[in-house]
Amino acid sequence: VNKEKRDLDIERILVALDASPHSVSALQAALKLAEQLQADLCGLFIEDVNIRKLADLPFAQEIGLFSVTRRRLNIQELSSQLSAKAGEMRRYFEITTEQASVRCTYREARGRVEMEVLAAAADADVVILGKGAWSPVDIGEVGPAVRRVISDLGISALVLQAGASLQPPVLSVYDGSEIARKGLQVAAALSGRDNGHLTVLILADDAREGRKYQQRAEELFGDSPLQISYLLLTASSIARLGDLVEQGRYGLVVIPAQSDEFDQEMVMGILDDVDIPVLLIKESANR
Amino acid sequence: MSATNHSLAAEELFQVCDPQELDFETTEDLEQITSVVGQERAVEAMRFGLGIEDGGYNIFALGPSGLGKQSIMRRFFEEQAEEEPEPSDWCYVNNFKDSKKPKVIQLPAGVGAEFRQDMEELVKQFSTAMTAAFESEEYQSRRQAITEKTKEKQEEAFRKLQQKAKEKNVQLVRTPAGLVVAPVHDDEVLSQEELEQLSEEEREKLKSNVEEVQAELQEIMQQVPGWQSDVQEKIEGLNEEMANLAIGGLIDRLREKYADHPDVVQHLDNVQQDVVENAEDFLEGEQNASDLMAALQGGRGQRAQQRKGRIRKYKVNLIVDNSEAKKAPVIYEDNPTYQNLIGRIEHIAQMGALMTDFNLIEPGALHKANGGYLLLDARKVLLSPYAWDALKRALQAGKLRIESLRQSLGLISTVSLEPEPIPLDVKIGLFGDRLLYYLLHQLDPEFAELFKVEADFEEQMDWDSDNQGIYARLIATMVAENELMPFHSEAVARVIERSARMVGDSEKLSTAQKQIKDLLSEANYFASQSGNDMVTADDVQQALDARINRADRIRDRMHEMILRDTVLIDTEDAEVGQVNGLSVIPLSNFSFGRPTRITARVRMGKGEVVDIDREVELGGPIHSKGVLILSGFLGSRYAREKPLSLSASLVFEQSYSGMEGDSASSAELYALLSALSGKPLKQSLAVTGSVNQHGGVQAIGGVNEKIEGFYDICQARGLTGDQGVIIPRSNVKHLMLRRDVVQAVENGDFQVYAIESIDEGIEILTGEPAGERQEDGSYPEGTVNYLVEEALRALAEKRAQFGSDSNGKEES
Repeated sequence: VNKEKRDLDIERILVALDASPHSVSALQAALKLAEQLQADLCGLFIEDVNIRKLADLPFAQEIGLFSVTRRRLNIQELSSQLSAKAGEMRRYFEITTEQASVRCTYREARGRVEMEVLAAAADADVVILGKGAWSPVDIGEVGPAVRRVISDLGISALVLQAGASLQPPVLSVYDGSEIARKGLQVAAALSGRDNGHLTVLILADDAREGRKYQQRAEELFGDSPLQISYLLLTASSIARLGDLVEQGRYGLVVIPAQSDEFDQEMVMGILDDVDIPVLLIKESANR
Repeated sequence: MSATNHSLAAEELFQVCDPQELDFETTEDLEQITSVVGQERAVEAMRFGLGIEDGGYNIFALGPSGLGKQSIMRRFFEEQAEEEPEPSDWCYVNNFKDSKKPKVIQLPAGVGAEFRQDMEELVKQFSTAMTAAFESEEYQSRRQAITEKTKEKQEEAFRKLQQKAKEKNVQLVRTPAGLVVAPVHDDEVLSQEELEQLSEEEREKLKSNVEEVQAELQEIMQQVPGWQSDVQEKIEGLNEEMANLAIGGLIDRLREKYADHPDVVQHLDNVQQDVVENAEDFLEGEQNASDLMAALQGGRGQRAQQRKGRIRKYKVNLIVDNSEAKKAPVIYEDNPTYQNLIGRIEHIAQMGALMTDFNLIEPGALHKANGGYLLLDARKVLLSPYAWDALKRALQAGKLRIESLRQSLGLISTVSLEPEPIPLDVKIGLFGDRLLYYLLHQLDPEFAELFKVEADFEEQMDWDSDNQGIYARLIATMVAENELMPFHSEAVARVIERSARMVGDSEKLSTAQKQIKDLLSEANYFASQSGNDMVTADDVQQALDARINRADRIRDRMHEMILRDTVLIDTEDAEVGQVNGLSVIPLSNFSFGRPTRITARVRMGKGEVVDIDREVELGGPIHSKGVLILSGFLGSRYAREKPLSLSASLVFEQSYSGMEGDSASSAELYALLSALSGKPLKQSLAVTGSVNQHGGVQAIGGVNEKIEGFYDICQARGLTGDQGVIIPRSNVKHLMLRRDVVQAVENGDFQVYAIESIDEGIEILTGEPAGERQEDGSYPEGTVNYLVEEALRALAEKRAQFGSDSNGKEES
């Protein structure tokens, strides 16, 4: 574990929470990951600053989720509801991490979500986010706030939607880059110690380059007890990545997000399309 | 009349059982007896009770304990049950329309267990079949198609709205309780200050945009429940279709198997309907694992409980399983509490609350005995709160309704069940003592209707040569059944003699089998201690002696007080107005006699005999009656034509506790006659017997113990040959005295006198003739009766004289 921890360079995991079902899944995944990598876990509950501003707006009206009726926002009532939500999340964090074997801390913040996450991420190696957290409605896509966080984040991020959990088998995309190599290491660590199964998706311009990358990957894994299989996807077919992931029934996809092959738009597209957790590997800016 | 005429010979004091007459060497030579001994009346009653099938002909076996009422009744029940078929199985199953009222299913013996097993297998197969069906690609695809379509519709609507909002510089913001449409700039909601900085036109524009998006949002949100409802309906339809496909075949196989049992088929229909209606329950993965509130409330534990609940409701609670039975059941319930009789409904703690269902219905003794026989100890039933009422209610209704006692008394509000009643067909055999039977008969009007057969058990049987042989076989049977060493014929004879002594009658034998069995076991013990391989008469005697030795501490202390002259009892010389009476003190299993000094004093009075013990309420009513009879006797015999002008006081000296019975009334009369006549009574004799108004001496109880009690005192002080006991002649047949007493009488060291009248007694006690009334109406001069009459005449005259003197004084 210590060797893995050293190699992977993941010592501190930040999970950003908003008391939605997405956050519940994010916290469970974060704890699992922290225990697997023996990293510290920091829970950060962020109350979106926009919410409290609503009460001051003269023409803003709240439409009840159940009643579907309009009503004026009352700042005191809103404050109580927000406090209750925060308390709920705090209790859930305490219950979830009660038996944890790693150090777990929790704090609350109020502000712009991306600002708060980015600030907290300065001390972290990985950030874990609920796909639809801080979204007004769940439309199966990455929420605006999370989208902004991912765009600006300089470190790895795990994004997962409500109800999803972190489990093998793992699919890791390898395009020969250094960041993709790091992704392979993380993927191997998350595939289980013995007899785990890891699929490496080689992303190359052609078959020749693909074989070269596969050879590199095989060298990297050496005599690993993992069962490793390789798939080849040419760079021109990268748009099919989402379909491949969906069809393969994987539990986690690891993508080298800072690689040349993946621009921001493509990363967001993959995140929007797939329902399973996606780990975006970036070179840690904090190291 | 000489005292010798009344003296009994040694052979009259004890009825010997001659081993020669028994005609066997040991009990091994005897054939065991299968019939009931000495209980012809009870046996006939039980045969009648068992034969008659009308309701209410339940049997009450009455008699003292130890007569074998329970074992004999059980034997008869078992014999009858052998001829009757095994009864039905009874199962409780869930009532899918109202789970608080479980349904009962009656099945032939053995089919119940099969049905239960089949249902358990079916439920297991349900899980597999349902899981397979609901996890199948087909189901998942069809379900996903239903949900995705709606989800996409919903997401598309919101996506478009969000797009539109963005175009209009507004944004949807989620609050804890709802959604708000707010003006934004650079993804940040405008503050009030920022809003105020805008021009009026811009503000109006924004407001209009907000309202437009808000209206659209509201419209979409109003459609959401409808969409979800459509999805739910479609999923339910799909689930129903899949569930029917999954389990229909499985249930059909059972329907075919149980086609002859319509209740089972009906239940299977209900099960299928319920499984289909609740198909969603079988979908483990459908719960939203990421629901924060569910997680906080321990949702997983709740789901596990729900899963258990799902399986439980399809189970079969076989409360009566007769699969192993070959005949009608015979049940003895030794703890007949309310719940042990009629069954109970258990509860289990679930999430902090007490819950129950039909699986927790437990049968009672009446369920187990249904279609057969139930034996109950009446006293135990009556001592158990509400058990008697419950038993009567069940018998009267002919139905067995399980009802929680706490519920019926309104003591608890926890949810309970009302199981469908079971038809009851049972013959009850109650057993108890006579007092209980007669009290129930008198005080409980329903008792006579429900227990119409009384099987009255005898405590004794005639001791004749036929019965002696039967009794020996009974002993041999007990020896064999209890795996004791064989009893020699002399030992058997000793047991038979003891049996007669137990009932205090030389012409009867005890039917108290339990006590006889105890004696046999104890004799067997002493034989084994002596290393014998056979029980001898000595072993039986040793057992009897040991039994007395264990129990006679109080007797020894009382006798010791007499021998140390703490309690004054003379056993020699003669005294006026003083006689030795005899009483019996019954302890647990042991009774003994002890002498008591009775004294009488007379003076002039108004014809009253004062019983001092009665005055201080130490004497019971029968004792008082005996004393009052004395006045009648004295008046009628000695003062027919003159007033009975004496005042006599009688007392049991050194008596400090209550006494009852009239067995000392003759002794009291002797003391009175002695006091009146001035003739001293022999203190070497003790007296027992009740007296009637004609002076006749009548039988009393405990004659053996009384004689032995006085003998023990005399023997301890040294037998003189003058000592003895006067008993009523009618008690001679009850004599079964100890061997040492009989031996003393045989040696002439002790006497037992049997008399019929007071005159005979007074002659023995005074050594003087009593005197018979002559033709002139007087008694011969010098006789006891003459002296008594003279004394009474003198008292009457003095009283008359005293009265006239008084009157004269008053007149003067």
